[in-house]
Amino acid sequence: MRILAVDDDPIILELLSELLATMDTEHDVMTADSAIDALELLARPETEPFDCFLLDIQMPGMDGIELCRKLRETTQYARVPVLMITAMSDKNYIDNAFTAGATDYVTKPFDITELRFRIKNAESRVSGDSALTKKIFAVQRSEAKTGDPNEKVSLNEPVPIMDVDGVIDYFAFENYVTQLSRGSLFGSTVFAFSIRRIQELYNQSTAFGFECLITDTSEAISDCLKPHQFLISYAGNGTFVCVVEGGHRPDLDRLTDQINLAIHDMDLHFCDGRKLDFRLCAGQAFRLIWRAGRNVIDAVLEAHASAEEEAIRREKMQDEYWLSERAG
Amino acid sequence: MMMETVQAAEMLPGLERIRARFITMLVDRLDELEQLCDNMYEDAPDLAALEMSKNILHKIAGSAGTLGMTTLGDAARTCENQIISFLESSQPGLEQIFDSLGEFAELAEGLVAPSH
Repeated sequence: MRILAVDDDPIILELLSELLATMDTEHDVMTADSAIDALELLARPETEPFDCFLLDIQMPGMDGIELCRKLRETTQYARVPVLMITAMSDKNYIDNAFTAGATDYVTKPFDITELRFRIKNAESRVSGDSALTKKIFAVQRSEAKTGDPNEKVSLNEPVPIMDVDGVIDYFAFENYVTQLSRGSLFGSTVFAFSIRRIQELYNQSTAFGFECLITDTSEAISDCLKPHQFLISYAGNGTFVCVVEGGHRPDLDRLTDQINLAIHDMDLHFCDGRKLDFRLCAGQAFRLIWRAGRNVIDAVLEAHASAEEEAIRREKMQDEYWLSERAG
Repeated sequence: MMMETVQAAEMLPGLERIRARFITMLVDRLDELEQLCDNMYEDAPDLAALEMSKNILHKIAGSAGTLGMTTLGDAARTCENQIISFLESSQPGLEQIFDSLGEFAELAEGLVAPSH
């Protein structure tokens, strides 16, 4: 991979270069000692594109979070892995980094084994080898293959959502929850919403229309989760996974009603002008307390599965109701 | 301190070279910290100097642990956190910050002394 490491401490830059030189895969590493230097380097026409960024969060002048935000505003670096380097134990810095578009983070002082793992994780994302990332990057692969913006993303693939508060991509979401410390997990709850009859909606939508549907839905969820501290990710198949923190106990029935009302008020339409009417339903909420022998991801998957099951159950109930009405 | 460094050095072949550079820079950083605190008294805190001291300590804390000098890194982190807290809420007092800086400087001196 071609990697740009940005840190104002020359020792850290040297450590990173040394570490990356000892990895199994060969990496081409460049360094910058400030965010401004990094942006100048990127603006030079002769600079070849980078596959991955390592950004220190706390730097004088422009910090790593702002630099990450600026990278995400460019088409070229909208999706490349950005690993934040932080000495901050304060979780707010990490949350802000993810909200700005970071995909992962490592803490200083480095645990070298952990850092290697994180770099390999980013590498998998770039190469598309990882099981986790396959579904996400299938989106990019299909675009690269055909170059056709009208080609629709598969239903079970996460659509990239940009510029919605608190919405991050699924890869970053998994990195985020798996790295939260036992202390940080305390008071966090994960739950999911699924769009009902998503397959039908998907079949009836164009590529652009489906992306709008997903983005608008994520916006409605984001608006309804404010003012709590939260992160949302679209996991594909019409399902959004959310984590709320600070001990907030979500009233999922009320929240679902609020979201459905917000979607209704958006007055959405298909691209051909037909009225777009759909509803969400929620699954079960799971506390992300540390569980012996169980991965936090299990809780995320359980929340995800329960929302999809609920969507199917509700549609089945509705179908049976109409059938019995008709029979009556 | 030696015990801490051995384990980290095993993992990266170039770590000794980086550690040597870190120690060289530590000499300058210690001088800088001393100068910043030189004219500061309990009743006359220099906020700009504290901010600069915090940045120096932040860098030391970030790299020392990775280089195997965990105790030094922890001491730098303690000073950094105390300065952050002081800048936000004037607590703890400068006296305590200077005590912590003194402990940090003693640890740093111990690392710097053999080669200087």
